[in-house]
Amino acid sequence: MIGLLAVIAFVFVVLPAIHQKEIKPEDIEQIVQQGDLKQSLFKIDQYLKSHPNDPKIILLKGKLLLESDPRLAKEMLERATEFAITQESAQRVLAALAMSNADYSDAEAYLLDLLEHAPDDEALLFSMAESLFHQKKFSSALPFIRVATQNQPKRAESYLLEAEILDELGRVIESVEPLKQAARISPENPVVQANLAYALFFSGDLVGARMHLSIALKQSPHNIDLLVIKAKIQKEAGDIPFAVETLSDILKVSPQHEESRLLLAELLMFQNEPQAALKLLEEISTTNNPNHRTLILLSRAAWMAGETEKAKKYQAQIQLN
Amino acid sequence: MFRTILSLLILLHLSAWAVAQDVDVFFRKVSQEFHLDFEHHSPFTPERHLHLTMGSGVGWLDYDLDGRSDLYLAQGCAWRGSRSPVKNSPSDHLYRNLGTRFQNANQAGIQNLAYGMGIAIGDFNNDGFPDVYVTNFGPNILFCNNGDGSFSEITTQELLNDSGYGASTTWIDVEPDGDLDLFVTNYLDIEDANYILCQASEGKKSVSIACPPWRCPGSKDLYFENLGNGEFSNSAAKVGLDQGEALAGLGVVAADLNDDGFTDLFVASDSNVNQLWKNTGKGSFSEMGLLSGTALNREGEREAGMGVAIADFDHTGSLDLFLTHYFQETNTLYKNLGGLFFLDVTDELGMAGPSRPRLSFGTILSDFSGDGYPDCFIANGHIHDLLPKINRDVPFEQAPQLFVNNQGKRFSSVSQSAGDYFQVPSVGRGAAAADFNADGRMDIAVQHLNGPVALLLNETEIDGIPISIQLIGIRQARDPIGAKVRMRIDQRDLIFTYEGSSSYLSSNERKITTLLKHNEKLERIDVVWTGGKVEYWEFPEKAPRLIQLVEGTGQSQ
Repeated sequence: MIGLLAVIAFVFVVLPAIHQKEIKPEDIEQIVQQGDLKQSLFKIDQYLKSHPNDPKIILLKGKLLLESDPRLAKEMLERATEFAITQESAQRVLAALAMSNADYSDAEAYLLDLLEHAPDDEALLFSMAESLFHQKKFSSALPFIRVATQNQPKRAESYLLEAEILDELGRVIESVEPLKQAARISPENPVVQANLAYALFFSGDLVGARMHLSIALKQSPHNIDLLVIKAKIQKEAGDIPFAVETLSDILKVSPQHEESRLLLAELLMFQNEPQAALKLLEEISTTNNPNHRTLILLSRAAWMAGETEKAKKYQAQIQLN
Repeated sequence: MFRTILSLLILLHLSAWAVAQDVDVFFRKVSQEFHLDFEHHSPFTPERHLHLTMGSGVGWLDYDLDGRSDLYLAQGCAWRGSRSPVKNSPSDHLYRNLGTRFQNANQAGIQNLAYGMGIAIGDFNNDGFPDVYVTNFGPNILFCNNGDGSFSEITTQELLNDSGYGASTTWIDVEPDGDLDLFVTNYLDIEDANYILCQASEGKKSVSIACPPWRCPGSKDLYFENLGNGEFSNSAAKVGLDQGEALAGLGVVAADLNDDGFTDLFVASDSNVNQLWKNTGKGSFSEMGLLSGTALNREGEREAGMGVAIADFDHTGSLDLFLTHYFQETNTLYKNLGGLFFLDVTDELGMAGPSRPRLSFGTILSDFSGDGYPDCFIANGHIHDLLPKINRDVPFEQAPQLFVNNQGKRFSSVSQSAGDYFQVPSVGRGAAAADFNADGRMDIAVQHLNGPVALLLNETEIDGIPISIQLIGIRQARDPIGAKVRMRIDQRDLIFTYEGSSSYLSSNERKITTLLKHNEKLERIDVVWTGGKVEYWEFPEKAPRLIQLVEGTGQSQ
């Protein structure tokens, strides 16, 4: 009987104790490397019972829980930030978590702390700029992305973000240079090519705009935004019939596309086809509340078409608008 | 069949070529050669006070009636905390055109020691000699031409010496009652003692910049009615020009924009709505900017209006408007459809893209190429000089531009081939045109902020006979600003306005100049005098080079 009790005690008390003592951080890492998340977390929890303040394992648990339990993951990671040895790593993961959750304000706070210790870290600078960009803090974002591109001049995404920030600041012409850099590094990137095409068009370089737009259009030949840029380039280049054709093509696919309809109306008026323009503009005004641009065009088209009363009617609405 | 197609292709090719420019417009800078040594003086303060960045105007006038256009150049001055004129400041300059050179003629009585801005040339007292009104950042001045080669400053009419921030100004006969009245755009309401200052920042760096106009209150424009007895009255309220809020006017033209015979006013406003003041013909104005489509651009946005030029660019018979604007905005071409309906055709005419990377000020619509269609000159240059110090890629100095007009269908840049002047970035401000050497080709004078004036001699190889037209009013103002002239040359009509001021702070030579090709014949000139009366003159024989058309001597319609 005593022997049986001894066996039972060995199995249920001594063995687990021996087993627990045997779990070491390197064992946990090994299990983690095997990819068994459930087993890894089980082992970590067991380990933490005896080592509740092991920062590396707390951090590891936080990382492992990122997908399955983000709330608990954040809790663990925040605990990990309390230890000097894991503070930076935990903050990086927390910043990444905040970015992926679109919690840009939280991300900014973590990144600000991190950048105090690593002011030249390109990844941190980029993330900081991105978080500020999403918070519409464009002026604040710009210096971060500028340092990021200086420190890592071969990353197209950084130049693209710099250009997007400049664009948001209304500094389209200044966005040409970073976009050219991005295009040099990543010539196949359609977003870079499309943005560069627009910035060059805006700056009056129609030849350059055409070249880069054609690259973007090769990858997305039916993209309406790209086709609108194409029509605008054709219009400013004086290729009016081609611009009309491009806009007509867009409207076949997307008959209600307002920008295309307004552009087409302008071109029809320029080609001295006011009746056609008037018809198109009146269609727009029945579906949408006409804005200033539409009313200006409506009154002018009616005037050109000899419909004086109608022209004056639309003109009066401009004043009221 | 093949031959027919080939002929058709050749024909199409030729007609396309005909639309493109067929002469190389070329200007040579001849300021030194013609002893024009004026240098603009506007030293920047460390704080970059706004008015110091805005520059000054140019005015062409034949003050001594020797047939040659002389040159008035407004001058800046240093900022010492007050806009009052300061002794020892450099003055505006009057240069007399001696044919082969210009001679400083300030001894004629020209002295303006305030910060000179806009220039209006006009014979306000109907004595046949052009007088000069100058706006200042400080008290404005009227110089009366004494007719003996000298000027007297009119000091008895205090109201003319308004001390606001005067910008472009023009003479105009509103009623028309036979004498020229005066319109003055006032830019902003800036207090000397409480001058608003601004900074631009990028990261941790910041620099001083001239404040944008929306940081300062606007200022009401002025209208002085000429009472005909040497006196003026402040009559903005009487004629309705005081209506609406105070804006930030910079450019102005006075012309008949709706072909009713009465002279209207168009005011380009910086970062605000432009105003089109329709002359009702009853001694008053009504504001039609928004309704006419000229208050805003095609997108319905306010733009930063600087200068404005006027001409019938497409030979439709109506006067169109061209406005210069801020960096990243387009300069804007408003086509006149008649009935005060204007349409923004900037994009279609090819003027949008080339203007966005520039901040444009002075502008001239004039036929530099000799084909009868007005071409376009634009003076450029930013107001902020320190932005590169905070890593902003915004150039202070910007090259001027020249566009030739391809028969009203499109403007093409010819800046690359138009001469050295167009290759060098500068800080252009006021600009005005005149045929100063009387060869039938329009030349240009350009003011540069803190730089020497540029006199650009038009050396475009055009074969033709220069024709100049001068109008002389009898019952109306002797200097009939706002009258419209139609020249019929071999069945084609050229439309001109007898222009007051235009461009930015400037005034072109008033007489109308064009070149008649050797195989062309001037058949007839129609003049619509201010008030709407029409007279015409026919030229069965060869027309003289200078045609003086005196009111009442033509045939009535």
